Amino acid sequence: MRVPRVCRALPGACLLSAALLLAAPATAQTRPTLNFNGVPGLIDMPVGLPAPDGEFSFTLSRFGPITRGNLSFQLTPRFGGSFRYVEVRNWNDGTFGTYYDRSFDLRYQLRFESRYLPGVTVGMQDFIGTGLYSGEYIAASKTVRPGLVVTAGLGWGRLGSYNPIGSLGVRPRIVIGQGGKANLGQWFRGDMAPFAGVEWQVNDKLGVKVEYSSDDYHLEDTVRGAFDRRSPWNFGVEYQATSALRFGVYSLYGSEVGFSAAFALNPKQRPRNYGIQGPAPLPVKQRPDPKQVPDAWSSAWSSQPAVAAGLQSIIAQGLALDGMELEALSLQPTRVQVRLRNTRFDAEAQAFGRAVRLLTQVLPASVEVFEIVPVVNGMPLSKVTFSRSDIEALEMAPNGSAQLRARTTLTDAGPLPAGSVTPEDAYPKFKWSLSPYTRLSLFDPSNPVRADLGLRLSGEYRITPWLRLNGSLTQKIVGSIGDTDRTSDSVLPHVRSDSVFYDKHYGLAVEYLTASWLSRPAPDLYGRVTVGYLERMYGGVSGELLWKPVASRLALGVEANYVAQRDFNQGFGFRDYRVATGHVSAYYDLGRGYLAQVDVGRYLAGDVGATFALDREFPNGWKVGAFATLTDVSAAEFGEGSFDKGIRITAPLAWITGQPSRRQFFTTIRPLTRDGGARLGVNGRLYEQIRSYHSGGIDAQWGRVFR
Amino acid sequence: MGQGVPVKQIMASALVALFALNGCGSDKTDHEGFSIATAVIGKALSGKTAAPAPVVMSRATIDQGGNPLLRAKIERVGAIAFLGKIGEGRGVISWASVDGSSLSLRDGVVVATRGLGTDLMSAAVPTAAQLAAGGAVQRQHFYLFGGETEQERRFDCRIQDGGPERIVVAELAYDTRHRVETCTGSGGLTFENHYWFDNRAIIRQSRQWISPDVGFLELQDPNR
Repeated sequence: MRVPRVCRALPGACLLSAALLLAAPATAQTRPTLNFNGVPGLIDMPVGLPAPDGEFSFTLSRFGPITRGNLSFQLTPRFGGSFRYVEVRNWNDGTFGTYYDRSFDLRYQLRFESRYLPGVTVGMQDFIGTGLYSGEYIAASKTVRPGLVVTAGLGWGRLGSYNPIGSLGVRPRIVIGQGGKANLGQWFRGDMAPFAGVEWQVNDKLGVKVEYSSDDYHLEDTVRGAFDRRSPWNFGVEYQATSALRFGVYSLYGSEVGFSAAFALNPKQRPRNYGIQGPAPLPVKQRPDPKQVPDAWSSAWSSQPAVAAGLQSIIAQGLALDGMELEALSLQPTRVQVRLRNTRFDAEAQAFGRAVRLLTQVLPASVEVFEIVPVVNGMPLSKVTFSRSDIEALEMAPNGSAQLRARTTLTDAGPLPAGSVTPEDAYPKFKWSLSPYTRLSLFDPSNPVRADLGLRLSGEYRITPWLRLNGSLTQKIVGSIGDTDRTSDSVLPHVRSDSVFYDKHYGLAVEYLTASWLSRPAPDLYGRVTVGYLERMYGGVSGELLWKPVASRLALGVEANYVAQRDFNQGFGFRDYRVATGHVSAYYDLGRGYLAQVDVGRYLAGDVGATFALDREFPNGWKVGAFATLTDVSAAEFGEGSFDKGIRITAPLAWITGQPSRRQFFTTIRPLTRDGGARLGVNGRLYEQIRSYHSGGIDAQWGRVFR
Repeated sequence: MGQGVPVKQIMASALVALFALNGCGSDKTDHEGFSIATAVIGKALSGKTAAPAPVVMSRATIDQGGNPLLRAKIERVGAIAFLGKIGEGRGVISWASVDGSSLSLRDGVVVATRGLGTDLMSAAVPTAAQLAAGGAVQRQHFYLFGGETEQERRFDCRIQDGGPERIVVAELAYDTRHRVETCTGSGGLTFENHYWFDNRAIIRQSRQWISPDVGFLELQDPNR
């Protein structure tokens, strides 16, 4: 390739000046495509544009001996983050035939692209890992005409390793060590080198990319001889198969052919065309005019017990049609309180809406106040009070849901009204299910994906509203999670790092078997005591108390547990290890869907410290967050990774299918699971059960009340 | 997995596959994920939503039934259904199909839909009188897009005369006045609704836009 001399020395400057010359102002903020690192970018280099707010992407890329799997999330309009798992074959260093590495990136949009000026991103690649991929950059990108984006940038570290044009001090050497520490001393230090590139989106489907890379691949090429880097120029052609899927084929570094696949989705939008599926609701029934039909408004019915019994039965049946169970009913001449369990609708407001529509259809006209009390595992969580006249007036009003919310009150559930009736078949009640299960182990140091498949038999026996037994048996059928010879080298008690021995068990396993008692000791207070085999690895006693007023952003909790480590065969026996563990927790709803949580206490290995977590929750139930735990265990004692940290993702089934469902898929991705900062995994922690029925959870989805 | 897979395991896997399709037990929530997923995948594999055979209802059947009906066609899918009246109040009549969709109309103008996908959650729409009179009107449509609270889309509309037209609805001929409502919204969203008023000032037939995903509904009032 022939390149003008000035461009050969300073490709960034060359491209940017070319861009300014071409600059027919274009403002269309194009959605950038993703590079081999899963970052908005060209091929191996980043660009100066952010992914759309909330976008969540998974990319897989490969060239020569290098394969990368990347998970990226645009946390806010300006902040983006990535987690990366890299496999390098032909590592040739005696200990590793194939080298695996995990790393985290963070980037910040300094300025968004405007009519005449480029967007500018500053990014830190592998800022907390082993440092193998460490590099920092500033990139500027300008859309010079629709579909044509020109980028120029300056990189440090790995991204400043080819043809540096200067230097900012001396970059300290990478110390792989235990990894996991922010490489503070390295940031933006040492040699810096320019990179640049052009992306041209030819049409809706086809895109072309050219870049000049500032990564020398010194380690892979010169030191390990894993591949031969001959040129800084990379070329690629990409194909947008669907709005979510994009594929690419590339020529990299003058010697290798590369491939990439990117899957991007945005929880802020619904999957195309789905909308919210599920049958239409009953219409609201309007009451007759009291002047014309005064008899209809009489409350004489309340003196006839048969009427109340009949109404209870009709309401129970009507709720069942919408997947709700009647827990208790209090019927008075002008007021009704319905306590119900919602087992179907992901949006709580939708369940409330269905219930009040039903009440307008069946209740005598004199009943004006509708109180709906959602109940979860016996705990009444809040009380939503509607006036029937408002429901009648607003069902068909423009933006009626918002108007209805303004006239609806949300308070603590309060005591069960005197004279409430509970359906006879509600307690005791037994439920069971037999279904398949899968267990995934992702990003293990020696194998990126391992999985188990088996059958799970689970049951629940509700003895009274407050007391229940839960159990689950699993039988593994096929699986690879136990297929590893790695054993724990941890110097701490092996509270989690012996998981492989649990995974190697092939027989029937008691996943959990517990008795739990829930209570509402006082307004705004919630209590839980769980006894039994609490989780796969621990059994014992767990108690929790939570303070959470219905309309409060803040919740405070205390949890205390005394547990023993279970036998590897997950039967009824225990090992010798016993520990008292517990936490004091503060939860705060920061608004706009951001949730913060701090837990301070004693962890399973007896270490003392705190866990910090930040989650972003979308109204439709998607949740993406990150957490880190720092305890008095030193980095050396902790081992690889230095401290416990990870990413957690919740995906609602209702979003994926459009059908109403409360089921969610939840996964936690940890670069490594070790023994420091490990917490007990007890089922039914209070905050998560409660929050969706309090103002934060209900209001975010209130538009569903008339769905 | 080592050397070869024992027969027992293959059988067991087959069993799992079977359960994966449905699971079993008294607690439905545990396996609904699988049933819904298989249903959705099945739908995706069987291709696009096939246009169902057109529903034909003769004049005689409609008259015999005695209950008010509304004939609706989703233009994009080609699906046709006869909807029955399920409620009425404050000037709005609600209609539902047997497959669980509903439409709510004020004087023949759609103000809400449910179960069609991206539904019209609520709306401020021109009255039949405004449509008959002509001129400029405003529409407000409310949708649940990605968020779960109603989002507003505003439209500026002009109503024009499309002249007299003779139409046939369920074997009966009507002399109508054709009205055309042309709307432009933010982001360049435009649509054109059509209404055919009979000589009793009833909207006998119409073509009304619902949402970007649902597109147009074609409605006919077959009642005498």
